[in-house]
Amino acid sequence: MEKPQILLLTHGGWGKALTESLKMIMGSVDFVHEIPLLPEVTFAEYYAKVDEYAAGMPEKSLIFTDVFGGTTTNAGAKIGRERNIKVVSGLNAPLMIEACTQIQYTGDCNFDVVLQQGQSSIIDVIGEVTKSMEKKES
Amino acid sequence: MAEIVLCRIDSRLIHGQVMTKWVNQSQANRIVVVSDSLAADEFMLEIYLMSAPAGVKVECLSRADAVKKWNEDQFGSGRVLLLLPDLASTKEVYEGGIKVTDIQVGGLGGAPNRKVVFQNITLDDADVEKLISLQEAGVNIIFQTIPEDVPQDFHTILKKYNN
Repeated sequence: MEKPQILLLTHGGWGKALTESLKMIMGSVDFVHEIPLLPEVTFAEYYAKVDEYAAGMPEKSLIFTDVFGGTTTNAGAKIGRERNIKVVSGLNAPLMIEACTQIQYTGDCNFDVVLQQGQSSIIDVIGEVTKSMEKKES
Repeated sequence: MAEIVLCRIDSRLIHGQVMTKWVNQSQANRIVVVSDSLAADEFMLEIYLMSAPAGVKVECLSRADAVKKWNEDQFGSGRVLLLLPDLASTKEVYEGGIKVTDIQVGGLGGAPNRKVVFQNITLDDADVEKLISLQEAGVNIIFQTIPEDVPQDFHTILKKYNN
């Protein structure tokens, strides 16, 4: 099986900066590609660009977008549905780390685990730590 | 009758700028999207409906249905953000009876032979012709992408276009 890829769709291309920073933790992540949404690009142009790239993505590849309701997600959704690629919006570092780790170590990607990891990654830090401390005291 | 609190021309229709900025700014509680292609695309329409902020109702109408509904009861009630993808549809619904007093050109996408006039807004001769006819009908036209921009009037934009 060809290694799955990750395609990032972000406003202005901040996914690229995220990927660069992740390399500090993860090493090479050559299976991550970014198509930035730039201000002057229309939906149709962006769609065509993303679709062209998505056409060459191997099975189990994923599309990560930044904002639900944004053009990145709107384009990704249309393409993901047509090409049978899973799309996750709400791109963040823990989501990327999980997906990249899986692909690096297994050459495969378990979508449900990636999604779950992303969903549980937003944490009220002080609140959760306080709760955990209180639990130990009682 | 509903109050049209903002009539925006934006080829991306509902997207980040509209959701995070203009809905708040205009205090709209309804978004009426006029688009024949979107009205016919069940999947994409569902995405737009799902991405609406809490408390804001999104509807999508074809041009013909928009005119029909307007002429029936001026869209019913509420504070409407009327969203159109291009000037052709804007002119068509205006002539059909949706006599908005103001339009905001917020995003018109690039294609070859279109000229950038302000930020990410481009025009061609056909667009200019439609804008002039809307202006002559008494519509106040401004160009503005996000609320933080200083709105540009059509006169200024036209000068840039003809330059």
